[in-house]
Amino acid sequence: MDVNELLSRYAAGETKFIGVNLSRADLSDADLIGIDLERASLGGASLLFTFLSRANLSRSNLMRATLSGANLNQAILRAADLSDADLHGAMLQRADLRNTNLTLASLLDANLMEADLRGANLSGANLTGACLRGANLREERRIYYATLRGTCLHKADLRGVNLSGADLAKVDMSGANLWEATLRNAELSGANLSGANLTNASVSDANMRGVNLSGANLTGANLPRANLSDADLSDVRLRDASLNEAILKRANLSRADMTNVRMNRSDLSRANLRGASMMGAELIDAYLARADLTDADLSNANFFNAELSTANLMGAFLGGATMPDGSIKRY
Amino acid sequence: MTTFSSINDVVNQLEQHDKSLRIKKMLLCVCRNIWENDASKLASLSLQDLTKELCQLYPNIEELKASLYEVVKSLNKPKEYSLVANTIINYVSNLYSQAGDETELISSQNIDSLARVDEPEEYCQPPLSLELCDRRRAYEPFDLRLEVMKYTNPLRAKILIFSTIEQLFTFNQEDWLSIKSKELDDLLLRLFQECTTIEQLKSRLCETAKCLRDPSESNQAAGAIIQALRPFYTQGQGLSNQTPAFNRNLAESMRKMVNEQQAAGPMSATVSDRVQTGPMSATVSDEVQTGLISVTVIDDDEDDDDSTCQFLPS
Repeated sequence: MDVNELLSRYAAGETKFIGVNLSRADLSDADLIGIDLERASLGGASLLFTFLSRANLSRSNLMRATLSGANLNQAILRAADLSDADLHGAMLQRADLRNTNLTLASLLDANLMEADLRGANLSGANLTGACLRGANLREERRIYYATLRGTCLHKADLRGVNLSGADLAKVDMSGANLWEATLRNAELSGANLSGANLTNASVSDANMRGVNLSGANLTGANLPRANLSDADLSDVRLRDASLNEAILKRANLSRADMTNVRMNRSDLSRANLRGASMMGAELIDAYLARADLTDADLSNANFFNAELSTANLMGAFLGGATMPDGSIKRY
Repeated sequence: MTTFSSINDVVNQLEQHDKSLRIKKMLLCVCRNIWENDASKLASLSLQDLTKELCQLYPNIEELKASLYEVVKSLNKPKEYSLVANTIINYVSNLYSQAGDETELISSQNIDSLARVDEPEEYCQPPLSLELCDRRRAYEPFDLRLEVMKYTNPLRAKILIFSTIEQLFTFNQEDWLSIKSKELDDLLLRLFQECTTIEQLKSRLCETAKCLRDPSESNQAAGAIIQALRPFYTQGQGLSNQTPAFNRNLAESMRKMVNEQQAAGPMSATVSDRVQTGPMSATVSDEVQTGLISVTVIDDDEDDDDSTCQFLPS
């Protein structure tokens, strides 16, 4: 079938074109709303600004297709092959992308609001600037398991998104919006979260070894039991955050704003806390062996029962702080 | 729902605080960018006026916190003043509601009722500008991008803005490569910086839309962009009259953007040249410069030594 035949039959009211071969066809700007192209071959096709909202493209082959600016709102793309496809600025709001192959696809500035991405393969995909608010990436009984290995989520909007248990190792999420996002049990080792906004995010039990969180905003975030060993947390904002029982061995927390942070029973051994603001911080039973607290502001902090005997307190301000033995420092 | 304190209660608490002089210094600095050590001058200032000004300048508590902590960092007694900053936040936070996504000022009742309180005439604010301040929203790139994406095609929006601030998009290979190297939120920010009034924004976008391949689709995108950017303009105003914190955020975003573009290669060199030489950016950098003036002051609190205090709002 050629393009003209498809367009004339569609104009005449026909919508079912299951399994058609339109490889490398040019359907740019065409209005194909609600068309059924299940299992169609559209590899390398040009679908620039094509109207495909509510279209059925499940199991279709869209490898290396150009879908820039295409309107795919509420389209069904289940198990479709979109590997290496160009979806720059595409509209995929409420699209069904379950088990879709998006390996190496470009989704720069794409609208993926409320899209169903369970089980989608986003390995190596570029989602810079994409909006994923309300998108579903949840791991579900290992049936749907979104793959995000090497995905670029730089400045992506993931506010409120549930990424529990997701494998985000080494993923670039710098400058991303993760406000109120759920990252419980997520694998974030070596990920780049510099400058990201994680205000009020839930990150409990996450593996964040060697993560880059420099300049990130974690105000009010929940990170109990998270492993942040060797993490870069310089200039991070951790005000009112909860890090009880977190592991922060050798972490760099220099100049961090840790006002009123809760870090009871946490492991801060060999951590760099130079110049950190820790006013009113709770560090009951915390382990600070050889931690560097040079010039840190520890006023009104609570170190009751904490291991502080080998910590470097040179130039630190301890006014009002509760010391390990329960005494209160006056100056 | 919490019962929020009235502005008078907060002012009373601040006045009765044993560090009320330092509180006044900090408030004066975040409100008017002035560091004052002269006790008589400080005494002549009303804490009520300063608190009112503070609430009008900072529509949410996060912006206020950021501004206070920046001032703290620039002082030679950061530890002492960080406690003062916390005191201010603790009391003033009662004037902000926690109901929304962000802590927003409960502006209407408290501020309006305050305006009726007897005050020295020289500190009466022009009511119109107060109203405008309250209505303006701080620039928030994620929310802005979301609003644009909700109501138009992101690629159409990018092509329209690119054509407005750079060159007419002709759908050739070179233009595609160029637009792929740009992000929608950076383009939106630059558009906002270049169009100082909402009227200018409208006319520039609509004129460009007429010249593009799909004028009606591009016009639809223009409408969505204008609607999304409208809350960030005061009536007829763009960048002027913004809070110091706003300008700092904007300046930071600009610096970041220019740096990224410079790192990206030859194409972006042109972009950064434009940013630096364009007429609007001159205004921006002027405003930024104002915030960078370093003032040498002496902190002469009774319990302080006379050490020189470098005040460098960044």
